[in-house]
Amino acid sequence: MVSGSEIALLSVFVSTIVASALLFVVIVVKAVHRRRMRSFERRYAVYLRLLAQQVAVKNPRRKLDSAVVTDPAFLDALIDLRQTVKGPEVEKLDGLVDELGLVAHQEKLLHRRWPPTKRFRAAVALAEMGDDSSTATLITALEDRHQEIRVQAARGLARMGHRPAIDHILQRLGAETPWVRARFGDTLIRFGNAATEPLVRYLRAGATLADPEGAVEVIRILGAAGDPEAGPALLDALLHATHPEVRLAATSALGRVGGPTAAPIVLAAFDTGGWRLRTRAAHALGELGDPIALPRLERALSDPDWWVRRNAASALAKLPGGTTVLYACLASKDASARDAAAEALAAVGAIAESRRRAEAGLARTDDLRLLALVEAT
Amino acid sequence: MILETLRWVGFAILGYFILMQVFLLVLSLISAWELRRIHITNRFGRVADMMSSQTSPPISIVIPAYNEAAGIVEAVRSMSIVGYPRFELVIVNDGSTDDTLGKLIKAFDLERVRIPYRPDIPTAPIRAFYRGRGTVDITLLDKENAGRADALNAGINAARFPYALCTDADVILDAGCLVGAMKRFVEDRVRTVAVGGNIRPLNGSTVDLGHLVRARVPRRIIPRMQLLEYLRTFLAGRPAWSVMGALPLISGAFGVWKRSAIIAVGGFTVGHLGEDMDMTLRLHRYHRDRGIPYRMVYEPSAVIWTEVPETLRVLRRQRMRWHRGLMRIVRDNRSLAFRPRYGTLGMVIWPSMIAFEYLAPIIEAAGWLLIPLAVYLGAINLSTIGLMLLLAFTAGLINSLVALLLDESYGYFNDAKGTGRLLVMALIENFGLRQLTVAWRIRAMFGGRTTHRWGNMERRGVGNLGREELAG
Repeated sequence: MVSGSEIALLSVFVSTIVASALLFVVIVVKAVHRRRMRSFERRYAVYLRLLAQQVAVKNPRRKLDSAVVTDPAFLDALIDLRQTVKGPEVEKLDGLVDELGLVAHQEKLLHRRWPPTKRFRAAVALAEMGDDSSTATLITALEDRHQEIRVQAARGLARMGHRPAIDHILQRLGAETPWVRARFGDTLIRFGNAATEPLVRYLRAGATLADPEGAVEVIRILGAAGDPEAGPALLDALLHATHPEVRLAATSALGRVGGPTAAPIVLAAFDTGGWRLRTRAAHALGELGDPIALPRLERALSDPDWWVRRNAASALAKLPGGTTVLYACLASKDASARDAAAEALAAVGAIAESRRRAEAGLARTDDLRLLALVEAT
Repeated sequence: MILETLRWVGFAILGYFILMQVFLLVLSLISAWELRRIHITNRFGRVADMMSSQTSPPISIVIPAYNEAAGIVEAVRSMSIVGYPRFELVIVNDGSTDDTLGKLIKAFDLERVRIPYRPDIPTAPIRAFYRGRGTVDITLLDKENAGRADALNAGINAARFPYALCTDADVILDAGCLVGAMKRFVEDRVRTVAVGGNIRPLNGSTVDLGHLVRARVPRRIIPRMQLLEYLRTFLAGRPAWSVMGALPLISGAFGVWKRSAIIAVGGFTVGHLGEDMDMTLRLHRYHRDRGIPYRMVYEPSAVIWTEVPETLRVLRRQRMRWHRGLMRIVRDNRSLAFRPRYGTLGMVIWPSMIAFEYLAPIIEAAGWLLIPLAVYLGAINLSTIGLMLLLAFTAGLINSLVALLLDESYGYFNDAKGTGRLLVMALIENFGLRQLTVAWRIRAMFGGRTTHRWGNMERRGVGNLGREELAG
C-alpha cells in the first residue's frame, strides 16, 4: 500500500519536472520568437527595398529569386507595397508576381488541407494580390470549410472587380454566420454600383420571405452603397415585406439611397409599424431632405415615443423650413419635445448664432427662448 | 484526537491549495484552446475591415470623471482617435471639485446645450449638458457627485447608440480594441449583451501624448507582480470562463454593454465597490430567470492599458476595496451557487469563485497558523508538509508559466530583460507579496468602516504624460 508521503513525493517529483520543463519551454519559446520576429523584420525591410527598386528602376541590377515566394516576409512586403503604389508601378508589380509564379504557389498551398495557417496566409495573399488568374480558385474557396478563407476569397474577388462572383457570394449569404455575412457585405459594397443589379435581383427573387436575415444584410449593403437604382427595390421591400427587420432596414436604406419617389413612400409607411419604424422613418426623411415631410415630422414631435420625437426634431433641422418648426416647438408644453428641438437647433449651430445675436443686442424672441431653455438646469 | 484533527485540517488546507492550482491549470488549458481559435480569426478574418465598414454598429464611449483635471484632456483626445467608424464620447463630470469641467469645455470648444435626456435609470441631478462643435462627437454631462456607478448610469441615459463602452478616464485604448470588442456583437447581435476586454498594466511602458509606444515589463516589484496576476487572469482564466458561457466578471475599465440590457436591470448599483461584477451577475440572473437566450463573452484582442498601484499603500487600498466588493457580491448572490438553472456559472464557476477567491484568504491565514502548530505538536511530519508546500508552489508556478506562454502571441514582452523579470517574479511572488495581499483581504473582511471607502488611487494619469516612461 502506497503511503501518503510517497504519493506526495511522487507528485512533487512530477510537478517539479513539469515546472522545470515549462520554464525551459518559456525561455526557449520567447528566445526563438524574438529571433524569428527580428529576422522577419530584417527580411521584410530587405524585400521592401528590393521590390521598390524593381518597380522604380528600369533595369534593376538585382533580380529576385523565385524561392522568395515561400517567404511570408516577402509576401507581406509585396502586399504592403502594392497597397501604396499606383498606375504603371502596379503593372510592374503584377508582372513580377507572374515571373515568380507566386499566384500558382499560393494556389497550391490553398488547395492543401494542412497546415491551416499556411492556407489562411495563402488566401490572404491571393486576396491582396487580386490577380485575375486566381478567380477560379477564389470562387471555389467561397465554399471552404474555414470561414476566414471564405472571407478572404470574397475580398479577393471584390478587389479584382470580378462581377460574376457577386452571385456566388449572394448564394452563400443566407447560410453564413452573422460575422461572415457582415464581411461579405463589406465586400459587396466594394463592388460599388456593379453589385446593385444582382442585389436587387436577389431581393426580388423572394429573399425577404425566404431569407430575411440575408435580405436585411442585402438592404443594408444597398443603403451603404447609395446607388439610386436600388430605390425601387427598397421601396418595394418597405411596402410589401412582412418581416419587421426587413422593413426597418429598408426604411433606413432609403434615407441614403434617396430618389424623388422615396419621401412620399416613406411618409406613407410612417404609421404602418411600431415606434422603431417611425423612428427610422423620421431619420430617413431627414436624410432625404424633402420638404413634403414637414407636416408629418411636426406632428411626430408629439409622438408618444421618446425616440420618435428626438429623431423627428433632428430630421426637421435638415429640411428647408424645418428650423422654423423647431423654434416654434420651443414653446411646446411637452418638455422632451422642447429639449429635442433645442438639441436639433444646436446641431445646426443655432445656439451659437443666438448667443452672438444676444451679445450684439440683436436677439429675437426665438433666440431668447432658446437661450433661456439651454441655461435652465 | 486533537492532534489527529489538526493533522487532517493541515492536510485539508494544503490539499485545498493544490486543488485550486489544478483547477486554474484546467482553466488555462481551456483558455489556450480558445485563444488559439480567436487568434486565427483575428489574424486572418479581416477584423480590421470593421474600421472602415459602414455597417459596423455605432457605440457610445461612456467615461465617468471625478477630479481628473490633470489628465482628462489628453485622455479624451486619445480616445477620440480610437480606430472605429462610428462612435460618440459621453463624458460625465461627477461633481468634480477641481477644474475637470472647465478644462474639457475649453479644450474641445463645448457649448452648453439642451438635450432630451431621459432618465431610464434614476441618477443624481444633472446640472448641465454640453456638446462639441468640432469634428469629435462629444457630449458632456455635468452632474452632482454620487460615485462612479451613478455617473455611468447617467452616461448610459444620455448615450445615443445601442452599445456603450464603460471605461475610465485614465486608460489608454489600444488601436483595435473597439473593433475587437464589437466583432463579438456582430457575431450575434441578438443574444450578445456584453463583451469584456483585456486589461494590461501600463507601468514601465513608454507613452507619448496619451498613446502607448512600447510596452515594457515594470522594473518595480509591485507593478510587476500585478502584471503577472493580470496575465493569469486575462489570458489563463477569462477565455475559459467565456467559452463556458460563465463569465462572472466584465471589468469596469473595459466593458461593452448593450444599452438596453443595462437599463433592463436598473443600471449599475450606486455605492457598490464591485459594481462591474455586480452588473455582470445581475445580467446573468436577469436572462436566466426569464429564459431569455443571451451571451456574455470576453475578447482578448480588445486590449486597454491602465496604471496599476506602484506602492504598497495604494495596492492595499485597492485590494481591500476589491475584497469588500467581492464580499457584498457573494452575500447578494449566494443563491446562484449549485443551481442548475444558472448553468456552468451556477454549478462550477461561481462556487469556485467563492471557494478560491472569497474563502482563500481565510483558509490561507488559517494554514499559516495551524500548520506550524501541527508540526510543532508532532501531528504532521515536517518533511511531508514541506513536500506539499513544494507541490502547491510548483503548481502555482506552472500556472504562471502557462500564462506567460499564452502571452507570447501578443509579443509585447519579448526582450530578454523583460522575460527575465517576469520569470523571476513567477518564482518569488509566493514569498511575501502574496501573504501581504492575504493579510489585507483578511483586514477587509473583518475591518471597520475605514475599509469601506474607495480610497485615493494616487495615479499619475496616463493622459498627463509627454514622451516619457511611466515609473515602474
